[in-house]
Amino acid sequence: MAAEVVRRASRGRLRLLRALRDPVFLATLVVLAALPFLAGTTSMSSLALSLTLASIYILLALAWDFSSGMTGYLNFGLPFFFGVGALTAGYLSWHGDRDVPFLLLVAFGSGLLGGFLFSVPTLRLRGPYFSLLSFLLPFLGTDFVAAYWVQLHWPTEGFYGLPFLAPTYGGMLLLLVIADAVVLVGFFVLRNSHFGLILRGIRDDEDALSSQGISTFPYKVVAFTLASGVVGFAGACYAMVNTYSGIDAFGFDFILFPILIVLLGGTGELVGSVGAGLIVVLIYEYFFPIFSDLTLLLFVVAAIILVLFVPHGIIRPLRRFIRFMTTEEPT
Amino acid sequence: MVGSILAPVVIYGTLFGFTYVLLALGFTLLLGISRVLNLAYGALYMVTAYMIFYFAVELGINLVVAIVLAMAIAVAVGVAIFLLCVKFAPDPMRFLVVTLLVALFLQYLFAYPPLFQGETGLIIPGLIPTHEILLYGVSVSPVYLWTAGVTIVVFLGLWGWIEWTSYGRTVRAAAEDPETASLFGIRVRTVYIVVVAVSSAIVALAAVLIVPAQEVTPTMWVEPFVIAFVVSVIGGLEKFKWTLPAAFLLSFSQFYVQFSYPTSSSLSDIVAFIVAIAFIIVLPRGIGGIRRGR
Repeated sequence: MAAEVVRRASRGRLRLLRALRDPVFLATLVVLAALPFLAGTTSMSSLALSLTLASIYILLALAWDFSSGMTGYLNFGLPFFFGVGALTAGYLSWHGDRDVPFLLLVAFGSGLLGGFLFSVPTLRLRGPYFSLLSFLLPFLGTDFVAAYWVQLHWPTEGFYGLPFLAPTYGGMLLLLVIADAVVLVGFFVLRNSHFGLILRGIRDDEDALSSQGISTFPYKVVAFTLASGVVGFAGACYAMVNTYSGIDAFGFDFILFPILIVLLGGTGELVGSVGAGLIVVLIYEYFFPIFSDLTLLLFVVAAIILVLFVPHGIIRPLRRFIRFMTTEEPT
Repeated sequence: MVGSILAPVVIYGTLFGFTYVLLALGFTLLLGISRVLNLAYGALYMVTAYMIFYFAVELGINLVVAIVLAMAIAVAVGVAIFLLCVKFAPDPMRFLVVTLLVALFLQYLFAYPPLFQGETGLIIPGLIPTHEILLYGVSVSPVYLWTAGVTIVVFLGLWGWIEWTSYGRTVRAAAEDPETASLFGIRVRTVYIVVVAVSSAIVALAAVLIVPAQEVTPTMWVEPFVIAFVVSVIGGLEKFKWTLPAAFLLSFSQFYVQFSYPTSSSLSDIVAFIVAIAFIIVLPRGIGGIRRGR
């Protein structure tokens, strides 16, 4: 029995080591590491700000891909956990807690708690029904805040004057790139572990897993809780980049962009979210001054085209290309 | 206290109950027959409202013609979304994503300032006068009285169509077992398209009746969708006849809370979510499941 455990563990480690040597994964880490140098850590440039925002959306996309992309349970409630993180940071800051690491930690915790409380009753539902219920969450958040904002004596226009995440945009970018890298590596390791195998199994055939005696429910709860924590953390980061958090943190942008990024990067691939996140946000930031409100409309059209005609995103073709280029032809 | 709020809760609960039935009927029908979860369902409500504004206000076309055209466009959009998804995104999850994206597309399209004054609320004309009347001391809009009457007709018509007509049998066969139905020569996809068209027409009709009493905004698609979904959850997803008690349960709960806590206007909206989540935990098969003993 002990020998079997050791054998399985070493096989798992081998699988993980092989996955960590994946050229796309390594290239993604290199790209992430290069971003702060590209913008300059003391920079206040618009490029640094755009890359900072891109890093936040990458966090959201990684969280969405880890939970929804891998399990097939689409969570449209992402803006709720984002709003919870942003408003938690705003509320604490308003109360005088201005320590950035503390605000980030509490926002992460609030995301975890919110994710757990939502996941436990709702993940008993099968995929599409869970998705519909999660879709209601941001509206619940908006209504709740609207109902109690006055009773709680919160400032009418939202929480202003949050501390900056870092003194410069370059500094914020550096912090967020580190967060992106930690989340990417963490989720990537989990993806290639036994845990990740079960998550992907849920997407492929949940009934088959259940028939083998595997209870999928705790795996789903852990995945969604972890992802919600990351989203809460991202919400606090966003609030501290803008030094403001309000009811608009529950907005649809915070689900549209992650979905678009994951679709472009490849669902369930994780690594694709980094490149796709940079592409999507930089294109948006470039075109918004030109097309203004039309930009968002064009982005939705792009997302529809992607989901209809390029459902596997850019990573699978890229991997195929790398394999084609590196495989020696038999002589 | 209960005595003072009894009349408004009963009157508003009843009238809005019928409104909720009309909003949820199409959604539940679509879910029950075609097994389609359509996040763009509420967007069809919005399309109808904006099209009425475009034809009747901007082009100055006769109101009845404008309404017919707007409903036809809503039905066409509903069928087009369905065909697009069936052709290119047949699995339920991609279907869901596409319908969400289509709803967002329509929201951003109508919010685009050169088209319809951006986020500004618009008012559309209606067939029913909107001035309020007194009913047992409670002020109500005739819009909701008419909506209640139309809902009863639509509900009975739909029930009769599904239960007692030859095509209704075909629809039920396609819903029960599409593969066996197609072996018997039933063109299942055509049946689904008819159901999608009927469902879209119902939500468009709801817009024609209700929206003149409200404002037309690019985010107005969310509320009818939320109501439709919550009513479906309470009734037991996929069982359209249970929308009737489910809608009344929701509307009475909401108005009881609204009149009990009049200072928190958004609290009644939260009730909808709480009721939906409570049903999912306690009675996942909804009211319809109680009767079957499951």
